[in-house]
This record gives sequence, structure tokens and C-alpha cells, in this order.
Amino acid sequence: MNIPTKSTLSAKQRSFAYGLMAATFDYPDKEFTELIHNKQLSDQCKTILCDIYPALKEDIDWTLLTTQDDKETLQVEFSRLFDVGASGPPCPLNGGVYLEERMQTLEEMVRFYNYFGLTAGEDFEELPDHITTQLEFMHFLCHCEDEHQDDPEKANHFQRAQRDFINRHLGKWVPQLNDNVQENQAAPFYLTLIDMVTRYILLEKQYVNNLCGMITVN
Amino acid sequence: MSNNKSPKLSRRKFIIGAAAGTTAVGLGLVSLSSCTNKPTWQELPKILGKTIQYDDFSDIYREIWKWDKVVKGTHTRANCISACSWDVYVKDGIAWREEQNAIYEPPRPDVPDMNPRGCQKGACYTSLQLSEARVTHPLKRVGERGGGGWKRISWDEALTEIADGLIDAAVDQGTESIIYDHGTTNAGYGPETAGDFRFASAMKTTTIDSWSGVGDMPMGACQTWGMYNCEGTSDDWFRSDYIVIWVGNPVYTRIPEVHNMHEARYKGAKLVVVAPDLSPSTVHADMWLNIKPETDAALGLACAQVMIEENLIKKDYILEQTDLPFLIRKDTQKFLRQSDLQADGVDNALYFWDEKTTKAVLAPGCEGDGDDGRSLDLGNYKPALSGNFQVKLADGKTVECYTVYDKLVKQLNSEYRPDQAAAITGLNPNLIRRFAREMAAAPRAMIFASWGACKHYHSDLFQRAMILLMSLTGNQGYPGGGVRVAAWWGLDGIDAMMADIGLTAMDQIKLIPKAIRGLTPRDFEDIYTTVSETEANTPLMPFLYVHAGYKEMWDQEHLQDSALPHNIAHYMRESIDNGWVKIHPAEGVQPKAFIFTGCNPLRRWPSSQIARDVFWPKLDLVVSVNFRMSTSSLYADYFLPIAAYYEKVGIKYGQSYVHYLICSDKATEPLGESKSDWECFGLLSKYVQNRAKERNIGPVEGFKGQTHDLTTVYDHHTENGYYNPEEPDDPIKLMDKVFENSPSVAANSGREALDMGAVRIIGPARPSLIYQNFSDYDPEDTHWPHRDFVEKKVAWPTLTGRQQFFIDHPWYIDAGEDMPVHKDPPHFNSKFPLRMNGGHNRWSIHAIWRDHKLLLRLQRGVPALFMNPKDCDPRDIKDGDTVRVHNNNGEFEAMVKVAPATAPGEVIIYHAWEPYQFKNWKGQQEPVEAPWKALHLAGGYGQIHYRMYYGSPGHAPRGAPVDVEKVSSLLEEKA
Repeated sequence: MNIPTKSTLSAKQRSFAYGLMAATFDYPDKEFTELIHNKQLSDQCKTILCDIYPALKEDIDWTLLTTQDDKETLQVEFSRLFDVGASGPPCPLNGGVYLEERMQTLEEMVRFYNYFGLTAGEDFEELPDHITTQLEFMHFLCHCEDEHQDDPEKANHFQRAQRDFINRHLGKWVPQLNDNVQENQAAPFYLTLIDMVTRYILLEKQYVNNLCGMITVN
Repeated sequence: MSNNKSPKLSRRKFIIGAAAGTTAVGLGLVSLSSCTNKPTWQELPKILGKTIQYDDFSDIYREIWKWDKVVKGTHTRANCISACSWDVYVKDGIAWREEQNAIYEPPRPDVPDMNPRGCQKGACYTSLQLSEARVTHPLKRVGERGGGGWKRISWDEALTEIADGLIDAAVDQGTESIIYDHGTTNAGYGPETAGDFRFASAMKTTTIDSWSGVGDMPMGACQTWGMYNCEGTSDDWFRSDYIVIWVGNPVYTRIPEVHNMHEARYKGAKLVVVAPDLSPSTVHADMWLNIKPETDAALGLACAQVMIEENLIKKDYILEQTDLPFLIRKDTQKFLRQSDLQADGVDNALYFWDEKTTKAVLAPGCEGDGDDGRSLDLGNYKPALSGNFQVKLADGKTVECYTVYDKLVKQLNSEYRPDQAAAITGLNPNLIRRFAREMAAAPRAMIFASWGACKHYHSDLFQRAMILLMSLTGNQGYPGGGVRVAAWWGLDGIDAMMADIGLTAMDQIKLIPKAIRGLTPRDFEDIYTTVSETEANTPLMPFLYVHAGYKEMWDQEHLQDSALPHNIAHYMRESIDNGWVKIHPAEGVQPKAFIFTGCNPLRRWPSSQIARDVFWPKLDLVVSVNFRMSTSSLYADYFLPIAAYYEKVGIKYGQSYVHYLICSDKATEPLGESKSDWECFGLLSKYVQNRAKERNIGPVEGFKGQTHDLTTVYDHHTENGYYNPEEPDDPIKLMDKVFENSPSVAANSGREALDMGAVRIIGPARPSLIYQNFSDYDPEDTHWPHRDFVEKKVAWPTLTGRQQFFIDHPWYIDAGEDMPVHKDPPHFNSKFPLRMNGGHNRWSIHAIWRDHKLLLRLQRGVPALFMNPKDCDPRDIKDGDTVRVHNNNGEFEAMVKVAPATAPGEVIIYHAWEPYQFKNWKGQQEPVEAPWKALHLAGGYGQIHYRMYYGSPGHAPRGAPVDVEKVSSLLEEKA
């Protein structure tokens, strides 16, 4: 698809999309399972993400984001893929696991967050390199961009940060996560979910690179 | 990341109802707390807009990285022998790195200091505790055990269901049907361990005594000394002139300590290694005795023969400190006893021949000397070391007696001359003589024999021979001398770990007269035995034999000691019937629930497939309490996530190597939903009590058939509310109690100890169940064991009151082990040609760190075994090939590292790979039948008895007979 080369996409929408994707990694409790069963999750993802990148409409089988698997089935699958296993789960949701040095990745996360006035806080449940945390950071950067839409120079600081964060992190490891869930024959819901996030991140990568210019990513 | 606003629910706004134009922020990340006026999420973008300058990612690295705090930490329950204080660096709620502390003052200027201490495992714990293997939520099994199906549940759900399961077990089969296992020495001195101890005590569970069960019990020391603590500070090694590493590999296993051995060489000490393989410790040695595996006792006895024949022995020491001058009746081949000489005489009063009075005289210090066997002071007696003596018995008959020494000499001269030992050990007789002469000539000689020296079938015989050498040369009890295995620091305040100390008021009253005249080592041993028998402690091997399906394997003919007239089943029966070995729950009572923490039974127990296939199915409830997913945890029903070492406070168990007790402060909050052990087990007791009340559970059968009230479990656990494990500072309250009552250390409170990190030992402590070194502590000196015996002439806690080499227990006589001897193990003639050995490794502490990526990079990255080219070539095995290691009992596959350093005929696979790291999860223990000695079930004789943490069978994983065949080559796998 044609990825815009100018800042034509709504930062507010994109911010929302990241917040939405972060929410999809919640553990499937009763309420969350209902959101899956009643298609709310699927519909919302399709609406929001395809509004930004229409090509996703065809690339993803959105029907698979709705399943009638019961709560326990979803929980067991979540735990099998992301939570527990010999030497750890087969598809960890922590990006640093996929990159060269975990602690260095974590340090860079914290540096990014601190630079933009954020911290994990004392009572965190998820680590700085967890997919939810990273998606929420993108959500925040896009939100900041949106707040400064009338001042392109200021907005550009946040766009460049998005570019670097995606190129150095989400864009690097989420595709590996996608490979892992396929190798581990994840249930269709999680296969589709990770595929959706991966495709979205890769489109975003092209967008922010077009917007700010590629940098040498080491 | 979460904040108090429940980010999970906030996130759902994105899915539920919100339109795309709506911006919902304020989720996991929060604004920096260091900002003066902490902005809200809504304010933050505007603030950032005024100041932000971001060009590329290099900008984020321009800020200096500042730590929020640095705390003193250690690895409290890693079950690592060393204790090292680390500075743990914290930022944004994460412990990022640790750095060895260099805060240890040497006790005297002429010994090396201990700065810094720490190894590569400790140096990367920050990354391990954040690794993907960490489990951060309570889990419940879904589907079959071991099937990999789990789901998260809340703590409330988990505790309720587990409490109900425990109550059901107690109602059905009594509280002893609940089995609690904390592993081997995997217990600290503070709140990191006290929670589960209190839980087990309050519940009246069966507690597995794994100390010897993992093969860590120096039974030869128990048999000879009536105790096994025998170590000092590692700087005392520096004072030795002749250091023998014998069945050990301290370069791997004593990383912070081993430098003292190497530095001793610079002042002229000689370092000798006795080992079949060219172990990493050997490369630093002056002399290597490449002995055939499991022939160590023969070497020791041959050295003794040389020393005696060449008169290189210290006679005064022998006469006072050993049973060698004691009289043996030639007709019965038993000690001459008072009951032989007097109609009303006792069996535990023994004799030597006094050369002054030319009479058999009652040996002062022996158990029945009439003065409670307290002192070795010989007064005017001059014991004869050798000779034939006529003694008139109570019935008027005269019998001829000789001495233990004569019996020993006769045996040594007939069976253990160097030429004879050479045929057994494979060592040149001249080398044996040289070794013996050098050891005897050294002003101070010591033998470093590690826990590995307890893991062979006849390890006790190795140890008896080693102790004999150190006694003949007068080294035991002196600086830089003696046999060294391990010892702990005493800590009087450690009683606070338990809600009560186990002695009844009547027991304590009975102790008063003894306390007034001074408690002896034997008195303490009586106290420990009493305490041990107040709760359902049961040694692991007999437990597995009776309850876990191991009887069929261990009863097999090929695993028996051929010298004994009966199968082990016979000795087990006799031992149970005599009350020598303690079996809980009693035979016929079904174990119903198993809760384990800090241990990994399906990795560690021998032939763990039996436990998995026979024991596990008997259990209605299996609970693992851990910070990581071990193999055993994968087969549990519930998993309770525990805080990692830097996420809680604690006191590391105090092995005596360093002059400090090491404490660990809390660096960060527990990750995810994990909780400290103290809180977890406190909650478990609380839920049992509450559920028992809600379910109107009446009294159930408790310890030894007594009734037990489950509605008071938490009250007992918390000392009627004195503690509240849910309070964040409650663990420090416990530590306060520990340190307030411990005058032997420099800290007076928990907080002071945590701030120090390393708390100086300043004086001696009273003995305890785990600490019996019997040495005064001088802060301005190195520390060594057994000073009281040689300096104060305190009697050893043995039948003879001495280091006892003759044991006339009928089983020992039957086995031909009344004296130290060499015996071949049962597998000596196995048809399987190779012998599998191992040892603790350099890259992990048991299974912890075993799968850590950083450390796997330093090895082959997969389970690997070492084989000599002479064994590889005929099997067409090349380096890197995968092989199948097998015998009739089991098999596993692993990569081969071809290593000429390995002795021919030997397969070395180092310790503690997780079974899940092997193909089909068949771990290295599967072929290991690990037989054990029936003699270790013996009791009713002086020092030969069981109590918790003392004197029970250890299994013998070393020397397992196997064969090896090639499965695939590395090249094939690459292709």
C-alpha cells in the first residue's frame, strides 16, 4: 500500500490505536473474554486500525479475532504462549528477550521513558520492555504529537522519537514474536492478534520513516 | 506496569465504547516521581512541549544514568555455599546490576583478606530475576500434570483452594500426610525461611529431612566424631602447610574461597589433589594423585600404614583424642565394657590399659564414665597404645584384650601396604609413600573434602580413612589442619525462626543441672534428638523407600552390599521396628499433599522418573513455591510465585568460610504479583485457619496420632498475632528478634544488619541443630574447627568420647566395617562398563542459573558430558556428538565433550541440568539407581543414631554404571 510521506495521519487516531493494541494483551478474564465473544474487540480493532491503514482490512482475517473459546481455554493458551514454560514461555511478550542484551534493552526503555518524563513506578506489574508498556509509550508519544499539531516543529520531536522507538524496538522484535506464535501453533485468536499488531507496527515503521527519514539503526 | 488506578480497567476503555477521537491516557507509565510538581498525564505533553529537544535516540543517552538507591543484597536461598555481599543498584524500581562488596576486614595481618567476594552467578542475578523463566502470578494447573496447561488465578483463589486441599488431606489421613520439603541446606537464618518452617510446624506436616537425602551427609564424620561440622574460615586454609583436595573441586565450587589455597603456596604450602580426573582444581596443584574412582579409602589406609610403620605418628595426640588405645576383647571382637566386668555394669563404659597401674581403667570421657562423659583429661593415667592384656570378667573368666590400635595395625599390615593399595587405587606405591610421608612431616596438614565426598556408596569409609590420617598426624583441631567439609556459624537468635523451640517445659527443667555444670557436646546432641522428635521429621531416602515407590528398585540384588547377610529390606524393617529411622507418615498412611519450596525433587531425586510415575499419582495436591519454573514445578497443581532474592529481606545461611553473616536488603518490590516467602506461608496458615473455621473442621489427627486443631494454625504461626506477615516491615521485626538475641554478631537489630550487609562475627555462639563446630571464636584470628576437644579436652560426642575408629555395632561387624576399610561398591562388577560421576559445576547453583542464557554462553549451551578419547574412539564418538547414556534403569541423551582430562572409564556430567533441558525431559538422574547403605539405618549405639539433619542415609549418585552409544553427530545435526 502507499504509505503517506507527510504527516497526514491523525496522531490522535494513531495514539488511540496504540492504546487499543496495548489493551488487547490483557489477561483474558471474564470481562475480557466477553469482549472477544461479543465481537467488541474485533470490531473495535478493525474499525480503528483499518481507518488508519485501510490495507489491513484485506490482510487480516478479522473473523478470527472473535472466538467462542471459553475463558479457561483462552487463559490456558495465553499462559502457554506468553506466561509459563520450561526456561520461560515460548513467546515471551518482553521485547528484550528477543534482542541482543536484555538488560541493555531495558535500560534503553527506561531512558526513553525518563526522557519523556515517565517512569515505571514502584509497583509495576509489567517490565519496561513488555509489549503493553511499549505500546502505551507509543500511545503517549502520538498523544504528545497530537497535542502539538499546531506547532510542527515541536510535533516533529515526538515523531522522531516514534521513529526511533519503532525501529529500535517494536519493529525489531514484534515480527520475531509473530514467528514464534506461528511456530508454536497458537490458537487462531492469538495468531491473528499478533499478526495484526505486527502488520500494524510494520506499517507504522514505514510511515514514521517516511515522515522523519530513516536513521541508521544499530 | 501498573499504578493505583488499575491500568487494566483503564485500558479496556479503548475497547469498550470509546470512539477513535477520544484520547484515553494515564495507563501503566506514570510521570516521573522526581518532578517537583508531579504533572498528570494531561499536563505532561504541554510541559514537554516547552522543553523537549529530540533529534535521535542518542539524545536519551546524554543524561547521566543515576541510581535511585544502592542496597546491600545477597542470594539468600540460592543454596550456594558461599555468602557474598553485593551492592545492588536500583533505578526506576528495577535492580540493574550488582557489584561485589569489598568490606571484609582480615582478622589478622598475616592472612589474605577476602575482598571482594562473589562469582559470576551472583554477578548476573539481576538479569536472572527478570528473565522469562520468572513466574509472576499464582498459577493453577489445567489438564494433566506436566501437560503444560496453566492458568493464572488470584492469590485469594489459590490460597483458598490450597488450604482446602490441605485440610482435606488432614481430615482424610492426618496432618502427617501433608509432606513439606524445603530441600537440602536450602534454608536461611531469617524471614526468607522462617515462614515455611512456621507453616510446617503449625500444620504438623511431615517435614522431609533432605540433608543426607541429597548425599550431603558426611556419614563417616558422624560415625567417627558424632558430628560433622568441620570447617573454619577459609583464610585458615592459608595457614596450612599441606593442603590435600580430596574428592572435591573448589575451583568450581568454592570460587570466593579457593584463592586462600593458592596463596598458601606462596608461603611454601604444598597443594595436592586426589582425583581420578584432571579437574580444574588440579591445574593449580603441586602433585596429582590420579586415583581410580571410589578407591579413596584404600589410599587413606595405605598412608596410615606407612605413617605407623615409619613411626610418623603423633602418639600423645592419639592417646588422648582417639579410641585407638581402647581395649577390645579378643574373644568377642567388641569393646571391653563395664557390663563385662561388673554385674551391674553399663554398656557404654569403656576401658583402656593404664601402664602405670597395669590395669584396665575406665576411660574418662566415654559415654558411661560416671561423670557424664565430659572430659578427656587423662589425669595420671598413661594409656597403652599397644599390647595384649589379661582382664578378669564379672563371671570370673579371664579374657585377652588388645587395643583398637593393634587391630588397626594388623589390618593395615595385612591388607593395605602400599603395594597392595597400588593394585586397588592404580597409584604407584612410591607415590603413596611419598604422599604419606609429606603429609606426616608437614607442620600442619589439612584435607579439603567437599560435600561431593558424601555422594559415593562408601563415602563414609573414605571419610573414616581421611579422619584417621588427620588423627594419626595430630592435625584435627588445629589451625590449618584436619579434615574440612563444612560448618555453619551459630546464631543464638535463630530460635526466633520458629514459634517455639521444641523443648517442653519439663525438658527444659531437666536440663538445668546439666546447664549448671556446663553443657557438653553430648548434652547438646541429646537436646537436638529431643527437639527432632517433637515433630514429624523424616529422612528422604527412607521416605522414598516407604512411600514413593523406590522400594522395588533399591531391593534389587545388584544394589546390595554383598558383605551383609541380608537385603536392605531386612535392615529397613529392623530399623523401623526399633524406632531408629523415623518414618512419617507412618507406614500404611497415604501421603496426600506435597508442598515444596526452594527445591526441585524431580530434578534432584535419584531415578526421578519413579517419583513422577509412582509417587506423584498418589498425591491429591502438589504445590510449588518458587520464583522460577523448575521441572518439578511443571508437574505441580499450583504454583505460588515468590519474590526473588533482591525483592525481600533475609539472612543468608552462615557457612563459616567468611568472618561475617551476610544479609540481604530489599532492593525492589516483588515482580508482578509475587510475594515474599514470609508473607506467602503466613497467608497459607491464615487461610487454613480461616477455612477450617468456615468448614467447622474439628480436631484432626496430627503428629504421631495426637489430635491437632487446624483452627489455630495461624495463631501458632504468628505467636498469637505478634507477627503479621502481611505487614511490609514484619520480616524486619523477625530479624530484630534474631539479632537482638545473638551476641555473637555485631548487629543489634534487623535494620542495622541490613545496612551493614556483612555483619561481623564477634564471638562464639551456642551449638544448634546445624552448628556444632565446638571452637571458640577469636575475632583477631582465623577460625578452625574442634578446638574445644584439643584445647579444653572436651569429650567428643561419641560412645568413646573420642574420635572413634572402632564401631562394634552388630551391623557394622556384619558388614566388615567395624574398622575403616576399603570396600568395592555394589556396582563394581556391573556389566555396564563406564561409571558416571559428576559434581557441582561452575555455571550454576544447582538448577538455578542452569538455563540462564548469559551462563550457557560460557559452556556448550546444552547438557554436555565429558569423556576420555579412549572411551570415545571405540564408540566412534566425536566432540559435539549426541550420545545416549543408558543402563537397565534409565537413559538420557546429551552432547559429548571429548576431554582427555577425564579419566578413562569415567563419564562426567556436571550437576543439575533441568530434565526439561534434555530430549523428552529425560534428565541425567534417570539411569542413576543411587543405592545407599543399610548401615546408615543403624541406631541405638552412641553416636550412631538419627535426628533431624544428622545421621541418615544419603544416596550414592556417583559411580552409576552406564554405557554410552552414539546417537547422531554434530555434522549430521547441522546438515
